[in-house]
Amino acid sequence: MRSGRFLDLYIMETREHLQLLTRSILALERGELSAVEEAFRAAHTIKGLAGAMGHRTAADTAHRLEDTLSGVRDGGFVDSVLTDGLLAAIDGLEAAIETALRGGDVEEEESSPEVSSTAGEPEVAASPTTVPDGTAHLLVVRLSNDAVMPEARAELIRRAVISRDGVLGVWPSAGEPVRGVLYVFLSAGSDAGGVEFSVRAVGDVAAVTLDAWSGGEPSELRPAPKEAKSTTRDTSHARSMSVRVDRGRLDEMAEGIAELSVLHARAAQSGEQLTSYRATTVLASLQRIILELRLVPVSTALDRVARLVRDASRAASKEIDFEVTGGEIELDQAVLDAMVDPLVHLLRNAVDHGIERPESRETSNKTRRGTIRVEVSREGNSVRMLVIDDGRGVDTDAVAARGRELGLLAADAGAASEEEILRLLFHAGFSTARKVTELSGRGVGLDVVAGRIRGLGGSIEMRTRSGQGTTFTLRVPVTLSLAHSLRVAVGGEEYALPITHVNEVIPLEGPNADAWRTGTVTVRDEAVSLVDLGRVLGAASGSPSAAVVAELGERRVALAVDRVIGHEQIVVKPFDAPVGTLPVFSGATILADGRPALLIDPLSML
Amino acid sequence: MARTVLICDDALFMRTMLAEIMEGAGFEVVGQAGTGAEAVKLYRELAPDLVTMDIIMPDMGGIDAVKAIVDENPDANVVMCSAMGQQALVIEAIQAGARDFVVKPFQPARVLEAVQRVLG
Repeated sequence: MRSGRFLDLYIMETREHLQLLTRSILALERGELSAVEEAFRAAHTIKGLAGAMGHRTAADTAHRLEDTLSGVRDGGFVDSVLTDGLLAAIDGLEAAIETALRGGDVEEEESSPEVSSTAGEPEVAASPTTVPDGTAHLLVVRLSNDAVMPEARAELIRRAVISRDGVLGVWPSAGEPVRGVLYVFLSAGSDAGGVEFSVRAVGDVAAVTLDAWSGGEPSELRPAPKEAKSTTRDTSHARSMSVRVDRGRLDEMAEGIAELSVLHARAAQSGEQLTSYRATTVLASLQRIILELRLVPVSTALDRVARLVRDASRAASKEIDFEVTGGEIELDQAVLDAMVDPLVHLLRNAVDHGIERPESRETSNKTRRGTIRVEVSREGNSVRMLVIDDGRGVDTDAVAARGRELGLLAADAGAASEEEILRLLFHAGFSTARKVTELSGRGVGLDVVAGRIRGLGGSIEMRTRSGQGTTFTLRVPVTLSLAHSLRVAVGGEEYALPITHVNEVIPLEGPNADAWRTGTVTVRDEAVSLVDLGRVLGAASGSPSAAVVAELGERRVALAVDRVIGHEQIVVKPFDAPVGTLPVFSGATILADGRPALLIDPLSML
Repeated sequence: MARTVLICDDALFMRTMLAEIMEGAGFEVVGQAGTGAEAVKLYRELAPDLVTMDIIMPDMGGIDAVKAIVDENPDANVVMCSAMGQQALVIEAIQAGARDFVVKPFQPARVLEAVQRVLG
């Protein structure tokens, strides 16, 4: 089955199951032991898929993972060391699949029959040497059948290897029951031969096998195959009633339809009558269907970042629970993809700088374990994502001090409001961290995060309470390809303003007739400062006749425009702003009359 | 030159049996102790290559004796002699620094295997 006919399906299915595997392993670590069944089934399915494709190494790797998982099921508990090993095994499996897809390790013939290890003492396997770089690795230590006090023997093995270079851990951990097998987890490039020597010197060891989770030869010493339980090995579980659609084709369709609606608008504008009312409604429903086709649950991305949060917290010696609510909320795949980086950045910040170490949390009367929560909800045409941590919060005094140092905050000004201070964090190049850790993504600060989110036509806000944590609120449009916008004229040019954050348009007349002079407009008895958009854009100052009021949280700003031309749907084109471009632009579009126009981000003027 | 052994057990019968096994294999039994305290004292005086240590003994148990000996010499080679059912104590002894263990009733081959492993 080397042909590409089933390849797409294969790639899609294995990815799905790899994701499922990761999710269940993380659930296992949280103590949800029932997740082992799901993990087992996923590994089993991948084994079947890889076997059918002739991807021998991938199939073997999946098989070993399956064996380990059945050991976990019998052992009845999981700890962080084992989770590390299992996750590394998943990485190895992923790598094996990738290698196979690139054309390596594809064999047409059936795998050789299983070596039966049920008869007598297993043979001693060939000595492992060095763990290959970049692969996951596991030393499987089988105790002799007649070993007395296996847990005591295991303790001797643990002590013999635990302080050696490259040994990540031994499972089961001290004091836990040992059922004939111990797993020693090794880091890449470690001296497996040396570790094996130490293990053998302990005695009562029947065999030591190096399982490089990918790339290596299949182990000669697999545990005796467990009796297949047909109930748990049914791979047809919980298959959703969904159709798989190629994303590129979808993009193309969406773009076509979007252009079509622009053409439609252009026709309407030029006075041409659309003869068929029906055509309009068909177009509308087509557009809706296609946009909906592009929607994917937010959880598809959050599952991936859950793994990252876990690894990052282990690396930072922190204990963190990662919770997601509203993962089923759907978002355009393109929007979601674009949100992953900013989200990852916020989460790494939370792990690195937000959540405190367990000891210091205890001294401040908090639970040892910190919590990072992502709450997703739908708000009209936007999706709101809260990233909440219960860590130390932002030290606003330190931020203010640094702000004064950098001249971003007037030194003589009295106490700056908390909002003003927090806004500094979104300023390019601002950082209070004295030491940039490996994880916090050096050089990329909140300014970049905010820029990305604004580029999607979204917004970001931040709240913090000292000692209690920080919350980021992200809002993004559900879909990127079409946006409602306000078309405005400023200094002889036309621009589009995404309507997401536009509250209202007020005429500069009556009580606001001299707003131009005072620099403020009165919006329902409240003074809002007026920005001369013409000057910001470097255009000739025209004669403003109206103000567009934009709002983000409690902040409002009024933008003076010459004229409001109308409201229309626009196709937002990806916008890679060249260096030096004014930060007020968040994208580009083609207007209904076919002319290109820049998208103004009103929030950049807040 | 023969390697030296210190045998610690509160039962004379066990000490005699172990001494016989060890001497049969060419070791020199340089001392025998019937209590933990005595074991620590003799270890200091004799500095043997190997110690066999019973777990349950009067006047300082085997585990505390291991701790005291390893405290003095982190490279001390102590093999625990345990009865069936004392696995938790054996693990404790290993964590205290014991290098290996044998389980009673003794099989000479098993005892010598453990000793060989420990002395490398």
